[in-house]
Amino acid sequence: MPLVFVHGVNTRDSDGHRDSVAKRANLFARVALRGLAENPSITDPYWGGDAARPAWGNASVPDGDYESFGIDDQTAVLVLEATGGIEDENPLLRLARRSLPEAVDLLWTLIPEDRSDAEVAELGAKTVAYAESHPAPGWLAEVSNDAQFLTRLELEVDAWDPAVVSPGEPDTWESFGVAEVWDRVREGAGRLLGLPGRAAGSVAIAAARAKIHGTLSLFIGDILVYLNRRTTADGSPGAIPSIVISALEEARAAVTPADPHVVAVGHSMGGNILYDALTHYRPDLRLDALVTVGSQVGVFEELKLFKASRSDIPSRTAPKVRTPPNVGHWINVFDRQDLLSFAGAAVFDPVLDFEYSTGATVFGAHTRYFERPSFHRRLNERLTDVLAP
Amino acid sequence: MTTVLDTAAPGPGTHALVIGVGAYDHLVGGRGTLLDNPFGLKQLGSPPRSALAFAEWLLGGLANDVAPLASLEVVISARTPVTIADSGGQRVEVEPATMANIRAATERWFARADSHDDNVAVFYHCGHGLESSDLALLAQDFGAPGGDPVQLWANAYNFHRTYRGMAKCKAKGQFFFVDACRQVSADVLEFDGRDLAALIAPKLRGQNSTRNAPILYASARAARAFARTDSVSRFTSALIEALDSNGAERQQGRWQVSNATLGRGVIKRIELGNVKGVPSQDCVSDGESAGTTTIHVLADAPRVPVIVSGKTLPATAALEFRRSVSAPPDLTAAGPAPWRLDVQAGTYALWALDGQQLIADLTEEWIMPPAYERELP
Repeated sequence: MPLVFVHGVNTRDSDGHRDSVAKRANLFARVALRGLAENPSITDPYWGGDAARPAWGNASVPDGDYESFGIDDQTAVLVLEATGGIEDENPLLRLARRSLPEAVDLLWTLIPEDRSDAEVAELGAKTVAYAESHPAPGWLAEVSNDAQFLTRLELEVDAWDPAVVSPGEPDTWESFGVAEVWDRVREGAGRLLGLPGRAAGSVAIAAARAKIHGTLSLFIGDILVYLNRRTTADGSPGAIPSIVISALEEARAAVTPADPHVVAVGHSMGGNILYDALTHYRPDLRLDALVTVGSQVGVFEELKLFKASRSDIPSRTAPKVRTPPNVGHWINVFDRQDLLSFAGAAVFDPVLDFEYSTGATVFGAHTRYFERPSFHRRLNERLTDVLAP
Repeated sequence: MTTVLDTAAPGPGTHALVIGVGAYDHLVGGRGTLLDNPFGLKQLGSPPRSALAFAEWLLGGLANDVAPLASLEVVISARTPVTIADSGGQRVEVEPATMANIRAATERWFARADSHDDNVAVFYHCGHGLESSDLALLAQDFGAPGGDPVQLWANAYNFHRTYRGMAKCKAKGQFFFVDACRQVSADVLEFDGRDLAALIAPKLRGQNSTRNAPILYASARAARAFARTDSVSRFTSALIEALDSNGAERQQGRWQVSNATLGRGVIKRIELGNVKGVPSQDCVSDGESAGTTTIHVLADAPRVPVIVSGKTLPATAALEFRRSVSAPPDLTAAGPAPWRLDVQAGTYALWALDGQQLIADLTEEWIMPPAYERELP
């Protein structure tokens, strides 16, 4: 099944970006599309190269510093978000006792992008399934630190549900070393140990948060560049919508009788770009499911910013905008903590709004959806509801 | 102590130390307190069987008239104690491979191996391994006293430094076989490794700088070694097979297995065993050699792994091996290609036949160690 993922603003090509694309693609293929696709193929049309390019390199930002967080800073913010700012020598265990699924999501979020692969995604799906069916297992009271928690989690998940095949070599073989997939989970968790002065409330976190201000420059810039240049002088799609439309065309051409569905996922601004593409530039392109995540399609329509927006809606006879007829099903996911995500059902009809809590702060919620196995499990359930025969 | 054999004979001999660790007290499933972080390492069924198989091969299979087997130290940890037949034919219980027993056995082995310049020292370890800057091989009591010990590595040893330490041993021939994983675990990288001790402390002066000391690793760096559960491992099987067959070379009118030939035989056996359904493994050779030392001499021409394939061969084709074109077939491989079998070293005429029809004719082919691989036209 072809799935097209359209990224949001403030995305630029780099090794880190490519690694995170691969990590996300594995989770889509192995978890979100589980049971729905014979051959999942994930494409990521990259439009960041045609987005904002500050002419003075952002010299107008007051402190001139808008570099992205360092790894430790990002990890610190993650832990702060996950643990709610409570200082603890064993933040994983603390979080697990509050919510095992949240702890599992944090563990998988911490796995370095370049250490993630299909096996990691598979194990993430199994572990989050275990956590959701055992949200407060008794063994959590028997372990007393993060290392013991990780060891016990590995044992419990490996032993759980023999009907589910664990990743790795068949049981008839043994290897004289560590199980590589869990080693990567521990490697991610090990990043917690390197935090400056532990995570919560530290000066390092405050500094990391301050850097967010710089990122707003590119954030706003990308939106303005898109709105200003989405259409060329002759009315054809500009560079950014062209990139997305090409990916949608390729996805449509790739359907087979075994994989008859095309799904597009738009994150944040990516949802707005998809909506413009499907309603104005190429209303002939058919999607079986449109998934907008942490997106602003509702508020863009309220502001009448889309090419297809009509000023006579809402009215007494047309209280809502009809969902584009070329979209089979529209699933919109938002997190109340994510100030940049909006519901859609009050503006569009029909759209299936789903709330998903990333458990993150306002700073992290917007970017955390796709790293979490539990998000992909939820998405799999929703897609199965609408697409499975 | 488990000194299975000590002939105390004068003159050169082969002195072997065999270590197999399948039971780990403080790893997952162990009898003792579980380590807080056991690195995901579990109990193993194969190492006791593999170590025993190698020790029994040394006792019953090793043939070296220059340096016959003179002593054998064996320590093996398993869920239930392992027994082995001693030189008198009595089965004796093998001591477990705790760190103390490994150290004691090493001291005895070193002293004997160091007793004559023309000795051959054989070192074999099968069990869990973890690699950072050096390779750590774990003893049964790794992680004792459980929990979060002050010295995690007290009951493991540094193989690479042990190898360097053996440079002070006089034995000209030194063979090291390491059947362990060499994964670089992220957890292990947190340790600087300086407290990982060597079994034999390296010395910078007075080294045996002309030793022939190959190392054969069951796995490449950062990779894993495999075994079917409760069976002899892939590496040890290949090692024993290579010692008895394709690890040999014709020298001085005899088929001899030496430091120059054994590695390629084992590597080829492992390589040919990397087939569908078997976890892929890469055996690696390393070490230093200044010349040639024979470890084993074959009584007869070795059997050589043969693989013959062909893109257009019919499924009903068969392959015949004849000592000469006029001789009857020595051997016939039936069934669809590729044909995989072991054939005694020598020159052959190879005929691929479909019924009575000759479809490929190789009149004089040299089938020699380490392997014969051929794609028919």
